[in-house]
Amino acid sequence: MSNERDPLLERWFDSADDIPVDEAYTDAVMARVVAHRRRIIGIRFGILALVVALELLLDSPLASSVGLLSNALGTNIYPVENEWVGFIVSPINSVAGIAGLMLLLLHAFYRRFR
Amino acid sequence: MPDAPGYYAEGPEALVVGLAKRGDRDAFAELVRRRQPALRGFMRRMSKDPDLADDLSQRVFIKAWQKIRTLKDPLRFGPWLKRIAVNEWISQQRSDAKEWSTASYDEEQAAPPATPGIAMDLDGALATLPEPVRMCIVLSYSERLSHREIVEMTGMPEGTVKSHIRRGSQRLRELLEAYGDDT
Repeated sequence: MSNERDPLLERWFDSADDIPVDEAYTDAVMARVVAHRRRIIGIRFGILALVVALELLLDSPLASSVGLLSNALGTNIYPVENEWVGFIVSPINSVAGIAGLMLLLLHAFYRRFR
Repeated sequence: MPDAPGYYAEGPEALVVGLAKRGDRDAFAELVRRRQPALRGFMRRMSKDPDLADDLSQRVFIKAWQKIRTLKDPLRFGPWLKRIAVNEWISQQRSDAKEWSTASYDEEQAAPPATPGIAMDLDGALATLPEPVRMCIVLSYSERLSHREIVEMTGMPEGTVKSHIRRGSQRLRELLEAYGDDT
């Protein structure tokens, strides 16, 4: 790839005046840098405050929902008197077991018809 | 803001860049001091508006500050800053909804000023070129980039870059001759 340059134009560019160092410009850049840093810190604090507020607001409803769900998942579908038999059939004789089987079936259907 | 300590002003740039990478704002201020003539000059040659040029160059420095931790080789700070500057300029042009990347050399736009008696300076001559042509010319003559580097930096096709430089050079040369400037 040729990179030849016109010598006359090169001289013209070389002789162009350089902009002198301006401390006011440097200060203006650094002021914007500091402002940007403050903005970032503010945004991070805002996100943190939002997360804490959400945690405080949703803590009780979330805990009770999880408690209800874990109680519901362990509920037997058919009452079994014998403790050992109940233990053996518990994977299929509970809401969690049925939900698990349903998910397995759905997965199998998905694999088959994908 | 206090003056940068002497060891910043006298230290090699790679060392100052290394300090800035670690979050030293005084070191970064020193980099702004060192690089502002070149960066502001570049932006002024690209832009017809000195205020816009200074604003863009400030934005470039702020982006550099934000990203300086990603700079792997402190010795490459200059080219890295230049790339940010070119990207900032291209973004500015695109935000102005100018089809700069596909703009062709427009003879009407490139016509010399109507008052040929005025002194023709470099910035004035460059201002008569369309933006993409001006960018290629400035990168080639002012920043001394090769055609390949300009292709990589701007994303323009190789043929377009060569064409812009050839036609832009011709146009500038015509302007030089028209104004009798034999610098």
